[in-house]
Amino acid sequence: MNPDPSWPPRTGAPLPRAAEAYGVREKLAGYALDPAHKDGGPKAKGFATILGITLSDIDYLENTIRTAILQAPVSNVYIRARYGAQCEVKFPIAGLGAKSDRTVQVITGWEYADPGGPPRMTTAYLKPEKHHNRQPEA
Amino acid sequence: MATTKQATITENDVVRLTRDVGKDRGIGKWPAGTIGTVVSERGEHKLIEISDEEGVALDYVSIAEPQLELV
Repeated sequence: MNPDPSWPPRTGAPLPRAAEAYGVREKLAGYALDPAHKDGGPKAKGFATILGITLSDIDYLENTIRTAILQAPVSNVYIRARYGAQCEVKFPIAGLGAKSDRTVQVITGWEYADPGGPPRMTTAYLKPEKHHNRQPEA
Repeated sequence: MATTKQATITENDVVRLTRDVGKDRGIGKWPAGTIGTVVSERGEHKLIEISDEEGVALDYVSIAEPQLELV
């Protein structure tokens, strides 16, 4: 029996063990805020051009994410074979400098390597309101 | 089955699918050649985030390493 009443993660409920989240800084530095990343570069470009947040602002973004996930509800839960529970948490984030008057939704992804364990961040990106994208094949 | 001998694929690596992927691996179907990033790993199996040109995630697919190649 799992004594943690927050487990398993549920849509609309807080992210289980959010205060113990890990991998945030590593994921930001190595992927979401890395403008040189071959595939993550557009994520970094989004943070920079929309909110003025670059790799040099990693402390701000990491702290904002860590604080926000303590309050923001889980927006989606996916159960995948081999990967266990994966969650999406969305919350607004304010820009910096010349973009400090802007607030945009950031989407963060979290996985639980062990059921009931702490969450690890897998991704983070902005989703502008007007967004057009490619789709998978039907 | 065509496989490519290559360096070990690890988290945050950019990879290309070497075969078509069906909906059983994600929410959509993705053709061979689709590019994505490894966001999680369970040994040989990698979870690939497929994003659009603005960095917005479109899908996550679970693929065994022999069906991926480094970009």
